Amino acid sequence: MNNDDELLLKCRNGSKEAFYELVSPYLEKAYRIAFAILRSHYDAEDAVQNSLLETYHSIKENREIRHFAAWFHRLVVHRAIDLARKNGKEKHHADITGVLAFLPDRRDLPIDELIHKEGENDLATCILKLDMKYRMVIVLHYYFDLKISEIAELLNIKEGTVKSRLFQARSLLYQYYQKEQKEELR
Amino acid sequence: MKHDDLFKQEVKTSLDHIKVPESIFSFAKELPYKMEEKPSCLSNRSKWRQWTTAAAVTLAVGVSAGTYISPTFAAYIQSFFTRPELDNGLQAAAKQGFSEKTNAAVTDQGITLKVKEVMADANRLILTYSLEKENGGYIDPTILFNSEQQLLGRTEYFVKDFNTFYITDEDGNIVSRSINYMTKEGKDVTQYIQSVFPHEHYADLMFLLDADKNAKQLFANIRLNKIGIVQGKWNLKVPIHIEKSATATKNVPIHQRYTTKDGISITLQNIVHSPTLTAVHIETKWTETGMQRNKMQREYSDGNGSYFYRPVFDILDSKGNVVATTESSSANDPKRPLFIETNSYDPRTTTPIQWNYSFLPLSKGEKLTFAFRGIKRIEFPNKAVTIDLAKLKKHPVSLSYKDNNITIRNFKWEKNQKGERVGVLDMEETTAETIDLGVSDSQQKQYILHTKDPLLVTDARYNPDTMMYHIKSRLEIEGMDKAPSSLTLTIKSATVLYKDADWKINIVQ
Repeated sequence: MNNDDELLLKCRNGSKEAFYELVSPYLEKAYRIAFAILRSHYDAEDAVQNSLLETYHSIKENREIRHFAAWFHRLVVHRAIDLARKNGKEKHHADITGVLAFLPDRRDLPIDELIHKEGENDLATCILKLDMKYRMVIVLHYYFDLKISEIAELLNIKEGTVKSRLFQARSLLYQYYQKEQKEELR
Repeated sequence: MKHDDLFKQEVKTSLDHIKVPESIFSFAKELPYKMEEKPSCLSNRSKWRQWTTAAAVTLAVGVSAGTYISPTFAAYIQSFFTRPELDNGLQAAAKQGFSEKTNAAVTDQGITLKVKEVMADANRLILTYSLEKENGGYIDPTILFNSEQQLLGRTEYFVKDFNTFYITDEDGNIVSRSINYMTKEGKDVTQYIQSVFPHEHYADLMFLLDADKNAKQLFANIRLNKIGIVQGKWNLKVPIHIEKSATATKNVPIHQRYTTKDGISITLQNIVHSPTLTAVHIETKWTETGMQRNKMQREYSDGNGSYFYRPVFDILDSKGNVVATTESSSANDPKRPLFIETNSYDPRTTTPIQWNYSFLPLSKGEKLTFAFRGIKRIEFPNKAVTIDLAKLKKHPVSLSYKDNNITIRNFKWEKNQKGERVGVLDMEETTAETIDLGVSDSQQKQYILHTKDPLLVTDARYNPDTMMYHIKSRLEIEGMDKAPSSLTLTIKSATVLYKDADWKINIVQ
């Protein structure tokens, strides 16, 4: 029995402290996933809090939970997506539509340049600038480590669509990066 | 390493820089306790939150919002804190020379954050800041906050963008009291700022301090990540000299105890007179007898073993006049003496609760008397009455619980603020503070009621002798598209006043 399983058992047996011990190591990542998807601190807070409530209920109702960390983070992703759909407030970044039409039709975009020259926080900023459908796949694939097939299942889209969105998302990130470089040189 | 793996690593590192609010951790920590406390209410507002939020909202009315003052007038005043719209405690302290000018400033992204003036004593701290552009122009200082309109035209400000403001002592300990708010959108906000008063190009930030920590030196800490849409880094740590105000501060230890008829042990700990405030510290705790009685009375508990109460008292001068009170003479009276109340309330525990009441400065030399008046507690009677809507106009319907009473006089259709057709009940209530109502039709369908919305309150009066409010208001019944023949109205909870005037203490100064 690993530590999470032990804490789960303690929770089920009524220990209130055990709940916090169980979830706290995973809260930072949970919040960051939610924030990266929702692009709003308030909504991210809501998504994580709703997930915590659901987690608590699931534990108290003795539902089977295997691999708690993965289960919990996946729940947060679901709740963040639910919230994003519910809000329906996602605003398209002004540049996106224009940029897409002019993307070069090749698969070997110079993403390495982005990696090496882009500052860490600037990359986060660029990711957050992405439209929801692109941002979502970037976060799920590169931050949450989901496979293409898993993302397809989660978002209820075809694997080909996930691949295409990932490609477009990377392309857009590069475009943003180039644009910012030009602005800096002005 | 493949370039995709490298990219993954970069994405992880970059997103790991997103700051995570402490509120997530507090929520997780409190969740199991709250769930036991009132499982059905967590998605909305739990009772204790309503209680504390209501207290915060109603009791903070004494703080007036900043208003515009002309540059001409500004030039005449030596201190920002002598402005007439600030409370008398701040004005008096500033006039006595307790404030100091500073030149603290930090610039980033072409914006300069300046702290212009500070004033502090053992109980609170106020500072004035501005945001200035390179061309000498000013940025609206309230750009750092989200705001909401409250009662009486007051505006409440909430921190945003992870900008932080707090006060520390010489050892780096935070000594500003954190305040929890629930916004109208239902968001919980925790911040150290008690109030924001904008004025012309400036804004004042006011903090309540923990006087018991006896800080020798204070520092105002401001850490900004974002000003409007501009990201950057503006960090300031401004030292504040408090020797002068510390000398002028007097701690009067009291430590006298009384047990109420309800079985609550109350200790008046001490009173701290400082230049800007007089703070009264009280500790309360349920006795064994009190807890036994609680368990025997079903209506005392919210059903989950939580009990809600607060002490009620006055402070009298040598002539017997009330110079400070926990109660309001009128909900609309901006001069009422209770300035602010904070507490460590946890309705489920039997551990002592610390109550801190702050009043505008009371006379240090005069003989004062602490006069206990009783306990207000929230009870859960679940008492119901059925209303025949057709007969209502001729036969008003009343429902009472202890000293609380409601009378429904009329039902009609109106449009609400969103232009939706809603049923409206005309109601008169007599209450010690609040009555929480539920409404359902003969099919047991529950409706959402909007009670005591300030925009709908037509009349509210407070009788200081009976200590009861008399309120005429209208209740909007949301989601009702046709009038049912009858409605059932239920008092879910009500504040009950238990008068207990047997305890008085002469405060030896």
